[in-house]
Amino acid sequence: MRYCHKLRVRWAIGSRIQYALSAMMARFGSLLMLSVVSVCIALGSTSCFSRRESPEVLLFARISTKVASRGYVSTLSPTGGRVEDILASGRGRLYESVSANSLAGLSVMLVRDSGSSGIRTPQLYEGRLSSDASWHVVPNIVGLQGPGFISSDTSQLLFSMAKQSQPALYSLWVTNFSDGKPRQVTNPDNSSWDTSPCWRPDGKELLFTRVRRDQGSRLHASLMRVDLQTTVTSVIFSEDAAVGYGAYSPDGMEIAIWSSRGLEILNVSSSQRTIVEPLSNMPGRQYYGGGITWSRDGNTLALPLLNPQTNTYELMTISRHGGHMNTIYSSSEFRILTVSFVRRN
Amino acid sequence: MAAARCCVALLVVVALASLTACNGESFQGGIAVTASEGFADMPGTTAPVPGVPDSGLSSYNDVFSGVTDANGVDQHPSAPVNRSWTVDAEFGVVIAA
Repeated sequence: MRYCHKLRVRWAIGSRIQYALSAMMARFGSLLMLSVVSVCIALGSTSCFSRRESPEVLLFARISTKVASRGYVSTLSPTGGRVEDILASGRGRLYESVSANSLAGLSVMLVRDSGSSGIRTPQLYEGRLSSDASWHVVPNIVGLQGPGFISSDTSQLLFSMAKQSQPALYSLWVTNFSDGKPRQVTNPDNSSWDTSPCWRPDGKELLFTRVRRDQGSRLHASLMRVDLQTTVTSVIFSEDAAVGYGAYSPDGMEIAIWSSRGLEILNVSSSQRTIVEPLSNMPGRQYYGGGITWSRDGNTLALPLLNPQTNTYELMTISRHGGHMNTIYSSSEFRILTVSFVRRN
Repeated sequence: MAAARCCVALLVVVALASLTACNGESFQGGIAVTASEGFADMPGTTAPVPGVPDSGLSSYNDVFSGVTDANGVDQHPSAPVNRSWTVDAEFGVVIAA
C-alpha cells in the first residue's frame, strides 16, 4: 500500500513536470525547435551532423602578385573553406608549380632558388609533400624548366623546358621516373612555344596549347596533341577555332576546353561540343592558364579565373552538367597555378 | 601595328616586397616582374609570356635585368625597394639563337 502510494506520488510529480513541459512546448515549441536547429547548424559537424569529407582536395601553387618572393603550395576542399598551406616560400626558395596524384604520394614541384650569386634557373624537384626530406632534382637535364605534371600511374613526368639560349621557346619533354632519361616530344618553331600540357589518362598522349606570335606581334593559340610513341603532333583546334586550353577527363573520353564561348566539353569520339558554362555567366572573367582539372568521378571541373574589374583571382568549381558554379576561393594577392584534383591519401 | 596591338590585353605586374619584412629568410625582398598577354582571337583569355626581357633602373642607379620564365615570372630578390624604379619589359620578342 505504502509502495503504491510512493508510486502514485512519483507519477503525480512526473505528470506535473510532463504537463509543464507540454505547456511550454505548446507555447514556445516552434521557437525552441528553431533554436535547437540553429545551434545544430552552427556547431556543424561536431555535434549534430557528421560532415562527409570529400575524398579529394584541390592542390595548387599560389604566387603573390603584391609581394615579391611570396608563395605557397596549398590545398583546398572542393566545397571551399580554409586554404591549407603545405609549403611556404622562404629560406631562398619559391614554389611555382605542383603536381601529384595524392597528397601522400610522389609529387613534383617547380622551384626557384636564390643564392648569394642571385637567382638560379627554375628546377623541378620530386619528393613527398608529407616529408621535408628526400627531395631531389628531376629530371637531370640543363635548361629553363617549366611546370611538371605526373602521369596518372605515377610512372612518368611531363614538363616544359627551354634552352637558356632561347628562353621563350618552351617545348615539351617526357621522362620515366625509373630511368630519368628525358626526351623531347614537341618541337615548336621560333615564333611559338608550348604550354599547359595535360596527360591523357592512359599515358600515351599529351594535350597541350601551342602559342604563336604572328608578324603583327599578336598571340594565337592552337589546341594540339602529341602521340608519345611516334612524337607526331596533330591539331585538335586550329587558331581560328578560338580554343585556348584543354584537359582530358579521367576516362579520356572527353576534353574540357576553354574557348571564346566559355567552358565547354568536347566528346573525343563524336567531336560534339557542349557548353558547360557560357562566358556570359562569368562576366569580365579571364582565364590565364592556371589549369583546368576534373574530379576523379568526372562530375566536377575546377579552374582559376581572374576578375580584372576587382583584380582578384578566383578558384571556381563547376558541375560538368553546368548550372552549379561556385567561387570557392578568392584573393586579391595570390595568382593560382597548376590546380589539380588529388586524393587525400 | 599600333591599332592591332590595342586589342591585345597586355600586362606587366611589378611587385615590390614589403620594406618591413624581416623574418630571417634570405628570399624575402626585391621586385618580381610578371608578364601576360591576351590572345587576339579570344577575349577573356590570356597566356603567361615566357622569355620577356625585363630590366629595371632605380633612382639610385641600381639595375637589374633578366627574362621571364614559363609562368611569365622573373624575380629580382636582391633589388632594394626603398627607392623608385623604372621597369621595362619588351613584349613581342621571341628570342631565337
